[in-house]
Amino acid sequence: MREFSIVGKSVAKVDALPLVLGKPLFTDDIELKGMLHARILWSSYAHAKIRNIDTSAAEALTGVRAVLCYKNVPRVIHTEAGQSWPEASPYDTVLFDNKVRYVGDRVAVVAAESEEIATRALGLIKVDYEPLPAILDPEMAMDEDAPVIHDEPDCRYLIPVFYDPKHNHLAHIDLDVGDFERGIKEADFVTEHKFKTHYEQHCALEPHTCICYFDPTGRLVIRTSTQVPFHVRRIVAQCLQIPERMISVIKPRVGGGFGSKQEVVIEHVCAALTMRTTRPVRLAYTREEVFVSSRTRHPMVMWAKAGVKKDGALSAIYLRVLSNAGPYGSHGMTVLSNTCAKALPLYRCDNIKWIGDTVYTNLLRGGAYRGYGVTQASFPMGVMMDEMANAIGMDPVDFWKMNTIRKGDTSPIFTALSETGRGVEMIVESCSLPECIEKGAEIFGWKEKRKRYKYQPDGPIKLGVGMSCIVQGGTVPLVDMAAASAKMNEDGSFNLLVGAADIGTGADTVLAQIFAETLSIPIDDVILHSTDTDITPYDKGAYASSTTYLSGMAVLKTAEKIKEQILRVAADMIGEPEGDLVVKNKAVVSSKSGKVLQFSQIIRSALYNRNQFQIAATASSLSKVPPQTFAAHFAEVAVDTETGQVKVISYVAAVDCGTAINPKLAEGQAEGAIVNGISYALTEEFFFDNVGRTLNPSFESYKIFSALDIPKIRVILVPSFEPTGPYGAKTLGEVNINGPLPTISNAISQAVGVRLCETPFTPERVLKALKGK
Amino acid sequence: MKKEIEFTINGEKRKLAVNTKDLLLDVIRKDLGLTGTKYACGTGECGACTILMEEKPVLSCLMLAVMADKKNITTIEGIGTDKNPHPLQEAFVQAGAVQCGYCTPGMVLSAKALLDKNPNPTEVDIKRAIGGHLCRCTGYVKIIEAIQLAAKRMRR
Amino acid sequence: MEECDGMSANSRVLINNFEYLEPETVAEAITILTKYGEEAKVIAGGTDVLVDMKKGRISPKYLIGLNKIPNLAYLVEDASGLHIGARTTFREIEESGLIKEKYPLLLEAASAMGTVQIRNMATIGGNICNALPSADFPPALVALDATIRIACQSGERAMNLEEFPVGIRKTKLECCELLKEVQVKTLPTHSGTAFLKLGKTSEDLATVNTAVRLTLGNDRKCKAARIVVGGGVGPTLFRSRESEALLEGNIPDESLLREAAQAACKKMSCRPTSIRGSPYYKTEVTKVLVMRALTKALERARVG
Repeated sequence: MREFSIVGKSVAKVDALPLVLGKPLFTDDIELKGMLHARILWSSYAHAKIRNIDTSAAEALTGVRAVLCYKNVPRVIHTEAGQSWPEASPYDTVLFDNKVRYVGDRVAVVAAESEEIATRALGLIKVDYEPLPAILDPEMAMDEDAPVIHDEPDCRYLIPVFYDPKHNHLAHIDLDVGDFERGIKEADFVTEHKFKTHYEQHCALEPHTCICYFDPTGRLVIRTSTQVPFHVRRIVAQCLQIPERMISVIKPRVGGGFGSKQEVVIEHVCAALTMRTTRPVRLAYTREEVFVSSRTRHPMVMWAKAGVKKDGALSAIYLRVLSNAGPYGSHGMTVLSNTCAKALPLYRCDNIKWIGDTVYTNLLRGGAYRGYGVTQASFPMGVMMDEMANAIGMDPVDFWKMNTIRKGDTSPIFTALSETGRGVEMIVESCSLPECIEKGAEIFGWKEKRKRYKYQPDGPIKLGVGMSCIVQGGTVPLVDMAAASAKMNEDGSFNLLVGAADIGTGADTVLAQIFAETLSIPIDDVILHSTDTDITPYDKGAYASSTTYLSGMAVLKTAEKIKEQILRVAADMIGEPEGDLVVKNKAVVSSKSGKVLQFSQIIRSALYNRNQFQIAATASSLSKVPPQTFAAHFAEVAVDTETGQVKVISYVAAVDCGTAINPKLAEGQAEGAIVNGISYALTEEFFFDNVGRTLNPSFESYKIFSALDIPKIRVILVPSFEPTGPYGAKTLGEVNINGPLPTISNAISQAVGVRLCETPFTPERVLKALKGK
Repeated sequence: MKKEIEFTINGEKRKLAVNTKDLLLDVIRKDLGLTGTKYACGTGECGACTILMEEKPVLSCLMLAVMADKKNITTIEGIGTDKNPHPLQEAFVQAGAVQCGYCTPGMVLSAKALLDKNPNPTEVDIKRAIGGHLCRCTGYVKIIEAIQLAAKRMRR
Repeated sequence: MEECDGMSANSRVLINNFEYLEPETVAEAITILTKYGEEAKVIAGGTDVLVDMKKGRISPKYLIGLNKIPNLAYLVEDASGLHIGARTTFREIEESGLIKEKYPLLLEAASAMGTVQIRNMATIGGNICNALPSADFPPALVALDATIRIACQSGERAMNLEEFPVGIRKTKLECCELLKEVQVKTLPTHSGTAFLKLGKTSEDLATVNTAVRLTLGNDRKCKAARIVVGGGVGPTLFRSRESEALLEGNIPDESLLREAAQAACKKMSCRPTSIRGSPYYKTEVTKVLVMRALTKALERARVG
């Protein structure tokens, strides 16, 4: 166990105090003079051509300053996916189209002197729709006679991948490792199911909000609640056909993202209005709009089959995935890819067959959502593993230990496939999963509970326990890059400029800790600034569990460069060789003479006295491998066999994220992801009518957990040391949301003997399964 | 339709002319510039707009500004400052209960209302007091710990 | 099917103009309501009215605030029973020692409703007049044979609460009337009550809820039974008189309670499709909830 001074300590989050004091830190907490308010007109049809739009009455309403629609906005086909360029998502979106593809699609936008006037104006816009048949079932999307959702001639990918929009088929990938047919024949026990995972909405508390304005020099400033400031800049430049240098994107504090803000959801619309009116424009989603017109988790249908030998070795895995992208393809191929690329390397199995397809439908828009395909794939895998263990009479704890990847191992999947296409060769250099399984089982009381629940109490409540192991590789290797800059100030403090996007995750704090550790300074001496595309260097943004690992490495490298400069100046000042000097407690100390020079003395000399220069540095970090973060999850559930209600009583997660730079923040990430996952497993559900309208776009009827619903949760961090990560750190943002679906399904199975393969595990579904038994 | 209202907010008496259809949340954020109170759903489900009125937690997104006439209001800005944060605010920081911070002001106010009435709450008491606040970041675990920590300190 | 009109709904702001009037007496309120009729809407806590206005479901030109009218919020007991002023909030009911001691069914139902903030704002009058079948409090009131007093132009009229709701958001309240008070009779001795609710999460609208009362005689036979079911089980809550008849006059045992619980489903008329569960599910759960509530109530009746 390595010990550091600040890394590994639960220092207070650097922005916690201003947040808890209620300071104006979020996008909507400012008001600009002359600011207009925008509201979007949404489609009321799931699939329709727009024959005509008449905006004259809306434009004539007093207080309306602009109305945009397909008639007066240049058509620039693009993707809204916040991904590195060239994006691995199809270019199938335009700002305003003369076609709508789901109920909640953009039709027009109004900017007016008040939100009220803008809302009124929406009612005055006359749209002449020509309804078209709609596809609401992904399993019918590729049928020969299915209506074509993207019939525009210019939709395409920028990269050479499969794309067949004429059959609503926006991605197809397959992978074969070993010989699945032979492997399944060698199995002593085979399990096979059809699985379904459902829509989920991120429900970040802060709705999508954006304020655009021209600065005095005539540049466009976009102040927005986003995870991807740099991608926003690029994509808005593309849509509005202006160069990137004309745009500056500022990310204030963000009230949660979870993937819903890894897109250009509203920034281009808002910017277009500012361009048109030359006035500041504010565009803020209502909660209903967040539910319907932002993004969701791709629902998937999965056909899975696996075989095991009686000695416990996995002999074959088959997973076929049908992902439902909705009307536009952002993240449609990459989420699909991850159901194999990031989910399956967990398993030690020589024979793996994986086929993935993503289709267009006229329902809600799929996008990035924490877990990003691994959440969906972990479900069939976790359930089948449990079944196989039970079938051969092995304790799941031992079965998982036996069949999961270990330190020193590799997986053919690493080389074959990544999120965006080609993979990289990789050996797992840090893995404490076996200890996670052991420690988690011990703290949970696995053996004792499993034994106890073999004999159920009288009465309608039945109890059971289940477990599952999960993985989430961080970053997209060879694609993701992060950079940081720093400069030193007179008092020995530093400005640290990071492009990384703290969206509430505590990234700013973790990065400050890494910087402070490297230079041996207190964290208060790090003045961190994130993210302003004019000031902070490029960072791909907050997604793919990258900030600690990748942005952290960029920060570490920057600090190392700064250290070199400090030591060089100090050597010159003291007159001793650099090799004899070390940084310690905001000073440079000579290990030979014991002489001490404070940082403030060194920087003053550098700025004012001799060979003057600014001690400063910039460094980048490119991801070479996707570090694997592991976790073992355990759940204890009570099933009310008369009402079907499932209550999670206790939940334990043992997590290997390498070195936890800030253990409290790491725990907090895990706890949040777990509760989100449990809520997804049990209570969150969208309902649609037969013409594609969302029936419950509100917290009133799309239920997420409150404090009264949570089980007893215990998170244990089981350290390992990742040599490619800053101070041994890996990543943590996503992995834990992948646990609850399989873990709870397995626990329900032990409690009442039914295997639930379709989510969510609502009381009705559970009751029907019990009665059907 | 403009109406004049008079109320006390964070200890200060204020007089304002408001429209009948102005929501109290918007008057607090825009007319008074107190942006700690938030919009997150507008229909009373999430608690982000919570303020204390006559020391009781209520939802400012579901109140007309005119309904605040003659009332005593506390927002997050009124319970602590940088130099002098409320023990709850300190505890939230220390316990790691603040992630994105968007739900935090409302959460803290409801916790304050609880502790002012019940200085020794059980875990269930705490969960019920914050049951009307949705948080997607923390899973509530450290929020509950923070309130317990603050309660302990405030009892001393 | 519940419709969502995403186009004109805006949960951030109110779009249409209205006048806000604050009468200082009940009589004044009645006068205003009579004058403006359908264009006026009473607003107490605002938790239902303002949501409906934001969603574009209603657009009143006049909002009649009740906060200046004295003596509309109270909890008073006298010889005939408990009197609750219409403007009493759910929080006041939840925190009342009197209710906790003597009318625990009302405490259970009131604390099952909404969240702390909503309970601080919402009034029982508003809740009753809004007549959403999923409401938690009315079934408890009906189980206690509640009556209501309505102020109107000619003075006051009284009615059994059970007859008051006639459909979803529809009651027998005329547009120029104001609900003033709810009255509940003192519980006879050897009475036990129970309220149960099933929602998706701990704080949710009820998929099904039930409020029951059993009063035993000295001969251990059931003297009186009230079995009320609410939630998404029909356009209004309903009393299962058939279930009650099975129990009244007999010694309640487990199989009799079960029979009564089964019978409670007979009056259900659920929507064929709903986001809160199919008719099949609601039927199954009603049987279970009523059975459990009756079991609890019986235990409590035997003790009390």
